[in-house]
Amino acid sequence: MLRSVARVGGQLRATVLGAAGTVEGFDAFWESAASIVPGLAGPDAYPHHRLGDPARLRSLLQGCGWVVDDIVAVTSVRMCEAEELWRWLWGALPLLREDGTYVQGPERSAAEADIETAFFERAEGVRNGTMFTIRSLAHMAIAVAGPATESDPTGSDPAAPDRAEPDTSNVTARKEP
Amino acid sequence: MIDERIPYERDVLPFMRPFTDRLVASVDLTTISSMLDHGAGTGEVVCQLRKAGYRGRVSAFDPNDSMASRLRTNIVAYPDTTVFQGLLSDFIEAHPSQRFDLITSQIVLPFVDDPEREL
Repeated sequence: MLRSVARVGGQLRATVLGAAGTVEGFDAFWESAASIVPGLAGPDAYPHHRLGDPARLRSLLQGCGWVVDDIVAVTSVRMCEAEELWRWLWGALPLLREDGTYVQGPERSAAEADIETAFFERAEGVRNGTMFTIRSLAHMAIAVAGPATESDPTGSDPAAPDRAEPDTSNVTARKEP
Repeated sequence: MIDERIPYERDVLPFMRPFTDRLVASVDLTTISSMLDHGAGTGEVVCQLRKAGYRGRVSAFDPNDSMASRLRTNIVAYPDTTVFQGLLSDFIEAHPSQRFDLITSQIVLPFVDDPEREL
C-alpha cells in the first residue's frame, strides 16, 4: 500500500535503519519475555518482530518492489537495564490479551500495572538473561520515493515490483560502538 | 513544572532518538516537498524533520487514538501539516490522489498484520 502513495514516476528507494539483531535474538527475547509477562505469547506470536533482522527486512522490501539503498545497523540504543527494558516494553508493546485482542483505554492502565509488578518480581533474573537482545527489536525503515535516476530516465512504475535478484553489494551494515 | 508527556514520550522515545536522528540526517530536505509519516506516533519524526528545516507538506497518521491526539498537539505549531487517525488503508481511502516524495515509517512494520501488504 505504501507504494501506491509514493510519488508517481519516482523510483521506490528505501534506506533502512535497522538493528544488528538476529532471528535467534528475537526468538530468545520473546521466549524470555513470555516467561516473565503473564499472557504474553512466545516468539511464534510475533513473527514480524523478526523483521529486525536486516536480511529479512531487505528481502521483504525488495520483494515488494523497493530498491534498498542501504541498511544501517544501529546498536547504540541503550537498553541494558531491566527497568529501562520494562519502560520500553510498557510504551512500545501493544498489550495483548490471550485471545489476541488489544487492551486499550482504562483497562490498559490496570493491565500495565499488573505487568509492571510481574516484571519487577522477575527483574533480577532478567538482568542476567537474554532479554537484553531487545535492542534487536528496535528498527525502523525510511522509504524514499525519489525522482527517476539516469539509469531509469523514464521513471519506474510504482506499481511494477522489482523482480531483480537481491543485490547485496551495495548494502552496508555499520555498527555504532 | 508539570511533565505533560505521555509515557511513550517520556520512557520510549529517548531510546528511539538515535534512530530518529539517523533517519532525519539521511534525508536530503532539498529534494522533497511532501512527506507521509506512516504510523507517526506522537510526531517525533515529523517534529525532528521540521526542526531540521523541512518546510514542505506533511501528512501524518496513526491508528491509536491517544497517539493521534498527542500528535495533533505536538505538531500544531507547524504549518501545512495534517493529522489523520486510522490505518494506512483508511488514509489511502480518504486521500486517494495524494502522493509523497518521502515516506517515513518508524517502528511500524513489526506491528502490522501483514507487512508485505503494508509495503
